[in-house]
Amino acid sequence: MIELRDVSFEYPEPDSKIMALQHINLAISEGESIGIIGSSGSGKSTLLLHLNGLLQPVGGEVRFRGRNIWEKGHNLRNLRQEIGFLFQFAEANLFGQTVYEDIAYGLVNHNWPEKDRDAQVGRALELVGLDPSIKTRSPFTLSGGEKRRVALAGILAVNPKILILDEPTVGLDPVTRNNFLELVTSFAAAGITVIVVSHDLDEVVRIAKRVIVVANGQLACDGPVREVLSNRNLSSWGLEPSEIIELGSKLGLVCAGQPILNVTEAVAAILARRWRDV
Amino acid sequence: MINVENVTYMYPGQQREVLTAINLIIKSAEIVAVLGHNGSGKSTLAQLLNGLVVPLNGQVLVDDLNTRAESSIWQVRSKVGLILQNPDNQLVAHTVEDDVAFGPENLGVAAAEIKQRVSAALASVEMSDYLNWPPSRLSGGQKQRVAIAGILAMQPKYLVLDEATAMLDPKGRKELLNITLKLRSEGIGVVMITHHMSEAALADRVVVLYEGKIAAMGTPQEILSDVNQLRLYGLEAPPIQQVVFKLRQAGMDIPRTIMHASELVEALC
Repeated sequence: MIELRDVSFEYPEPDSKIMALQHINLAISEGESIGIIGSSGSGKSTLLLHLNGLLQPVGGEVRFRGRNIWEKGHNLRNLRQEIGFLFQFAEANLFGQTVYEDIAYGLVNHNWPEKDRDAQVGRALELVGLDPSIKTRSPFTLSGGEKRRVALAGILAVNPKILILDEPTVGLDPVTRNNFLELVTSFAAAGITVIVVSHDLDEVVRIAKRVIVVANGQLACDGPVREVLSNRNLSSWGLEPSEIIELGSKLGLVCAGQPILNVTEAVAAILARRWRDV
Repeated sequence: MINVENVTYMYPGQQREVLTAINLIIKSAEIVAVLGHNGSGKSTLAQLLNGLVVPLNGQVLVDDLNTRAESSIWQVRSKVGLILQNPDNQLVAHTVEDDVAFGPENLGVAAAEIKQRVSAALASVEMSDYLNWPPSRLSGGQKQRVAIAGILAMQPKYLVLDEATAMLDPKGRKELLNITLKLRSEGIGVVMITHHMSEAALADRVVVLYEGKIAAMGTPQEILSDVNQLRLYGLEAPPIQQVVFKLRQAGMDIPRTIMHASELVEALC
């Protein structure tokens, strides 16, 4: 669906050339749920900005449905409708006088027929689990979690096929974060391609089946979540295993022969060992 | 000591109190973690501590200076430094040196002393090598350390970190937490507002705010191991505490107060 072929990028710094991405090769298929991880400055966000044409590579090609998105005549507006992008602290970009106005903004921008807009806004609100009555409220009177859901609804309103989320739960309290992650997981289960960038490896475990590690502008590792997050090289990429993975590694805990990833698996593995030892 | 006495606060034009009858003492050389759901009043509390907002009722005394008194407000603000979430919003100058010097310059400190303070503050956050760097070239964790150095150059007695690690990667978070521990050992009282429950484990005391009131206060062991109660406050225990809780529920005889993976490994082996 999206393919990066030998993509390189450098920011136009006046006094030095920083190679933010170096020869990235990557293919993302429809329906995948992918986590992109890496330390600050590793190139994760730069990589994301290439996926929907917000940045143009200095070398290589970005292809969407088999076509180079930068070739003459390719419509980037359509691409951006298909690939929804939720930026960090997306609620900071809310500006409408009402929630409706904010959610409908993308529909207006993409020239959706006026007669369909109400239904699309209603559907988007339902998808993010907000009551339809919220439509008439000012976004500025909402809680942090509600605002972020409204921002996400604005993206979902135009029916994207791919959802890109950059640190989607930063600043949310644990329960709001949990609810938001459940929501994102439900999109992935419904077949929407979900790509999430996060510093929080527990969050990546919750959403992604495949994990890509970016280090120093290069693709350092790409594989199934369990394999990548228990990789011994994690620290050399500026990352650290989560406490649960660390616990699993110290105790040699496994789930179906593979390293454990979460609280439920850790508890099950410890209890299974206890019964075996009794 | 910072003494928050029976403080209530309501934002102008609002009907609901964001904070109600808050009583809290912050001492030198201690770390107090403040936890709470979104909208529980954590950031308002941070702003009350250095006089950015003043209580509707009650009072905040910083080393006996009332934050309500206009005559001492600059003294209060130089005693209580505030670090916010986004380091990019806190750095203003073209070089790290100028940035750190900005605060003491505004306080009218003499040039020779500013130089000394900048040097000591950068050493304290282990950023001396970056004196002439533009802040834009630093990582998130380094920027937050420079922001802290800017506060330290004003020689504060207390530091309030309002979700200061939220935007940092694990390495940056670790750097900042190590600096926090170091500052405590140098006698600074630190208030650490955070959504990362595992960060609260480093504190001497944990305060839980729920709907504008102090719902619980205690050691990290007491607060973080109370998995069910945390849930009622809209919070979630750190993963290791959740494992311990579930193992105890399943009948395993392990201490409820285990905080870290290494302690659990020891208890199980």
